[in-house]
Amino acid sequence: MNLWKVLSLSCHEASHLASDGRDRELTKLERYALRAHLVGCNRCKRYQRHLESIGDALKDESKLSDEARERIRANLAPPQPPSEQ
Amino acid sequence: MLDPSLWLDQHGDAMFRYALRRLGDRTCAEDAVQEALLGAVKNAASFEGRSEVRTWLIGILRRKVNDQLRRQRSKIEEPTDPLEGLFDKFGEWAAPVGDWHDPESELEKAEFHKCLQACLERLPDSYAEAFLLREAEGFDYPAICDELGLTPTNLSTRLYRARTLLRNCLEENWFGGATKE
Repeated sequence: MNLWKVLSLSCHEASHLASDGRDRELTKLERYALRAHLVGCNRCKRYQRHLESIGDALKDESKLSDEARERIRANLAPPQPPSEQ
Repeated sequence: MLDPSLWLDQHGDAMFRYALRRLGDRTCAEDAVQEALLGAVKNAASFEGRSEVRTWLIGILRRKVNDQLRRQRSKIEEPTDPLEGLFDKFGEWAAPVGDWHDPESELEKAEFHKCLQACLERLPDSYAEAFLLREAEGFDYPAICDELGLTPTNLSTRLYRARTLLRNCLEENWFGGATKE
């Protein structure tokens, strides 16, 4: 990314960087470019906030029910040899 | 060490969450977890220890989930450019980006989750799996690229598209197209 790009990021590019920023550390120039764009762009600021809301909503704690867990455990157990009488 | 019961205790809930988000049904998700763990036991010898056990198990689960989805529905074609029309020729947003309020009450949160789930199920499979591996499972880039056979650039594009499609779907369905600015 060059200096001109830092000063002239489009919304398309800024929103892609906002997405990348959730997955990796942006380079210094990318960070400057995104920050400079967000100062003047409410739409991209909102886009970035919406990605955070979606990410937060995915951190739920759904769990296997006890019943399902025990059923799966029973199916995973190797069959026991018949006991000798 | 081969101990499927330990896998169930340590990774069962994470596997269940992945399957539930892809399939949208608890019973189907439980079945997929069971199938994946049985598959893992059968193929334990193929686990080379190159990745974490969790990554390996989720990889097996991902394939089971895809099999289930393929049986349930006809193939959804991946759009060539799913973001077409979203930006104008200068790369600026073509339509307003709404001002959401985050769901606050428990009822609102439950509704939001329901809507998010419906939107997830509408994503093309290739986007949904990359997105969930990253955002829900917290896999890093190398692990996802390895699992899905993607380059980092492809993955970046796929995640961007998935997030943008999800955002649009939520704006349309949860916020009822509330695009006031």
